[in-house]
Amino acid sequence: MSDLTGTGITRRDVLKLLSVLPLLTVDLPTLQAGRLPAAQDENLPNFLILVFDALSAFHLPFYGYARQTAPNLTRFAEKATVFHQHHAGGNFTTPGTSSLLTGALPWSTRAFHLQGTVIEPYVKRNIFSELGKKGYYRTAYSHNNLVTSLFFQFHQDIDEFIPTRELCLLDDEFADQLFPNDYTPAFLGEWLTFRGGETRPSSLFLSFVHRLYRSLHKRMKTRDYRDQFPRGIPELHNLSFVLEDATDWIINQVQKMPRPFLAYYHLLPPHEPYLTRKDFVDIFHDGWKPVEKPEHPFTEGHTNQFLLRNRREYDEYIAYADAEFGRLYDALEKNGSLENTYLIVTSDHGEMFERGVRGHVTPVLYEPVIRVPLLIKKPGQQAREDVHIPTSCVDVLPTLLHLAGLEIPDWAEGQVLPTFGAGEPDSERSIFALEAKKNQKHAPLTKRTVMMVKDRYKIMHFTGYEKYNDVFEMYDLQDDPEELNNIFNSHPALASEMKSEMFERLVQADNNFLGA
Amino acid sequence: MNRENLLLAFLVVLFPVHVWAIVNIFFKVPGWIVQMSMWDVAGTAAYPLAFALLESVIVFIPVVILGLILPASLRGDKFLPLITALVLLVSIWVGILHFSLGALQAWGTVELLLGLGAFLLSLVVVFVLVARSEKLSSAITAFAKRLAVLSALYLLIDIFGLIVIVVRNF
Repeated sequence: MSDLTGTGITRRDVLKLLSVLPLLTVDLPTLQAGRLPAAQDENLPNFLILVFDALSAFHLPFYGYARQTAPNLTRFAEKATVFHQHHAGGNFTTPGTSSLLTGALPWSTRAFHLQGTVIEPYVKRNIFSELGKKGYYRTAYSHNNLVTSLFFQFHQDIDEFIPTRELCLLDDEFADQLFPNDYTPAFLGEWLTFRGGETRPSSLFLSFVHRLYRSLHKRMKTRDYRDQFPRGIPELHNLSFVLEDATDWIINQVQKMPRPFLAYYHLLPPHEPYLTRKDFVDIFHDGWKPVEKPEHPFTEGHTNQFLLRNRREYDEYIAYADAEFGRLYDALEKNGSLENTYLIVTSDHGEMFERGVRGHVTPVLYEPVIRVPLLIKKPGQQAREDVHIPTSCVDVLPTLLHLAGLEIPDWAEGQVLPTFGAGEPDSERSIFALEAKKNQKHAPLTKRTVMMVKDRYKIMHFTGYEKYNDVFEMYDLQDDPEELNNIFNSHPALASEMKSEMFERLVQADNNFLGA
Repeated sequence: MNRENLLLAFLVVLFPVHVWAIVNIFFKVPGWIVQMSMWDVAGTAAYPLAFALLESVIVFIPVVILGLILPASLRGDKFLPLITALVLLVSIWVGILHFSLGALQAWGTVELLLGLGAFLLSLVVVFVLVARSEKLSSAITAFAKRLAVLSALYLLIDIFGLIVIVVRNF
């Protein structure tokens, strides 16, 4: 055998090495969260939370939308408690979901960046850790990787954490499999290596190989679904999915789960891209037009025609999500899974198609992007209840704890939702939402939008933006629900009062990070 | 092709892979600093760096194979300058490809074939020039040896990155 390189390596050595290549195909172990003791008190109520990502309350018929986007949710609303002024904690997934899960606003949890995470204390201050104290069996799933970052933080308190790919046609991510103990940095590293985003991929050569692999893999895995989804298979970034898979899985999962349980399922539709199923394509080609609104300084430059088309496609995607919700709801009703179960339907943030802005990645906090549905069906509830006072996503945690007979911790910033607690609801309370992507995590907020809703009024403050610095907008949501008439200057006394309260809360939040 | 040349060839491969990776990591660092602690920034940067090391090893494999199939006359003193010239040339082409992906997607078959032809022609020209010119090959060898010092520094950073990853995961 000749020495091939002058280094003592022979042809036989090379062949021996080649023989171990098949080992590369062996699956690496998937993340298994630490299992906690089995659930104990079966008389406690179960909680099933369904979050439809980016579902704006402004696009739902039972909140007054002109299009019949959601006949099944409307049917469900007839036997549920419907919250008409429910607000997300922010205008995208991370602040919206972290607020829902921790019961604390983004200025406290500091989860306000893309792929952001909560600060250390909140890793053990969340809905999973609290309900664990009563022996709840806790399970969580999300199509959205931003939520997965939060789940990885909370995973010690989640009994069954289902990886995103389980309910996807494909998900080419590997950070969660290789580095479950360091998920978010590994995910960001993987993303930069192969995709880059606003930069180029950091892998010079193999990013092209990966790109080719992704393209072929996607073509192969989605081949059978193309007829069903003429606009493209539902997707986001690195994953493709059909909602039907998640629906079937949830029906099965809820039936067999130990009682009492907390199940949190975060489903992507109607989050962009708006890729609805064949049966809903063009169902809203009706010529309907919403109220026209002037361009905002934060306009993305989209024309009205573009926004109308996107709005229609979004509405058609909602119809798909609604159809799957209907199938899920009927199946759960039929198999008795909803006995002793609170079914909660909500969203993490909204979506907007106005003022030159499309979507939700924007500094503005107008109602379409932060007002989200909240419907809760109590076990056995047969009649609709309507709640019109403002509520917040941070109210969900205290409400569930109250229903489970747990004390509400002092770090929770919400309160028990109206009709679920013993006392009278506080109609004068203030609701907040925050957009602060560009700020340091551990420092006072300098470039941000904050909004406060109190009773019928809403105030917004923009600061730190080059062309829109220290600007206030204020609206009377009762007389001007479309937020067209800024009354900040015409109502000085009210404006001053609301401004003071909002700033007081901001200063309180910022004080925790002074000198950090 | 001796052990020293192989090591130098590996360091040559490591160079463009790391320059590209580090430049792109630096574009992201300001954004990471805003939302992470320094330890998390180090962790996040460590993953693409570790991958750059892996990528260097993977790219090095065809280099070794090339070393095995080259005629004996090119495996001696010519091996290092040839590999250096070809690796750097291919890296430049791939870098251009990264910048022109958008335009490339609009190209037709003729344009693609012309582009591919230009790429292959440049490889052949460089190969022939280095193989035939002693002066050029000794200049490239000297260049490769200087490059290797910088690459050794990158290797050190990679090792530090690997340690960070190990610490963060265990």
